[in-house]
Amino acid sequence: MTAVDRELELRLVAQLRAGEAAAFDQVYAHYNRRLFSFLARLARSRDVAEDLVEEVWLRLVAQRDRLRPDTRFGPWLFTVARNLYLSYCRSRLLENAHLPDAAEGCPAELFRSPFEATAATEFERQLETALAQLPAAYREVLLLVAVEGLRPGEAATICGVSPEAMRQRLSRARALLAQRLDDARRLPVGVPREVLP
Amino acid sequence: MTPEEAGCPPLDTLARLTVLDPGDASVRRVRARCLAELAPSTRRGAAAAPRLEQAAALTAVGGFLAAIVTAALRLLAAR
Repeated sequence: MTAVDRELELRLVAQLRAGEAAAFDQVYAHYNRRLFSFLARLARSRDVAEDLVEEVWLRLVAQRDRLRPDTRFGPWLFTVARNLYLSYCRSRLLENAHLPDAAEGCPAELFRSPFEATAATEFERQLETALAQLPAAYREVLLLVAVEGLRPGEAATICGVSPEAMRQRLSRARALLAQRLDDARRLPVGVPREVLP
Repeated sequence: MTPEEAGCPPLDTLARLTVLDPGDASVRRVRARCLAELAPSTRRGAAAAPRLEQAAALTAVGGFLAAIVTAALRLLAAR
């Protein structure tokens, strides 16, 4: 939702607090694909993302009474989504995965349909691969700021870090992403990706 | 995003990445579950209104009957 839509957002918050289904539908239609994309790329799994996104929406409905009247849906939903992902990692005994990633992602699995897969250009596929190979802490800041268009200040709040720490993390994430892309471009055709450092 | 960051080609391209779609079944299931969670509060609100109307009607009838009884008692006492 853009700043222009802030008035609408405030009205939706009030209506959702009152339990109006129509308000929920509007918020759901606006954010569901974005939340799913964020979680699928963060978790590198569509199945995990579907489970987590369901939990995000159920939390919104369950906690609607406690929403502040000036709540911004974007930061609220992405904060819950991120926290649920971290809980998922802990529950899978993968909390270290949030720093150095344990498993290589397979971006091709993120595309549900052949249309989605073919719609992605070769560069986009390289970008998805490079993104998937970043440590989760860097991946999430790029997803929040560059993909979702949240302000760095909002991303800092979501990630629970200071604005300065977010700025540094974003800068490092950009450098890492550029390096991964550069590596991918230099990789000769047919060389397995596993040989990448 | 700062202007410097906005000018970074990988970040620009990230903004144009394909938005991924959850499965249709998942979308329907989640929406249905959430609307079902919302429904009780709506039903509670809808059910409360008739109860209030009934209470108001009973109060009015009770008041009317009390007035009749009072008037009858006064008449009996006057005799």
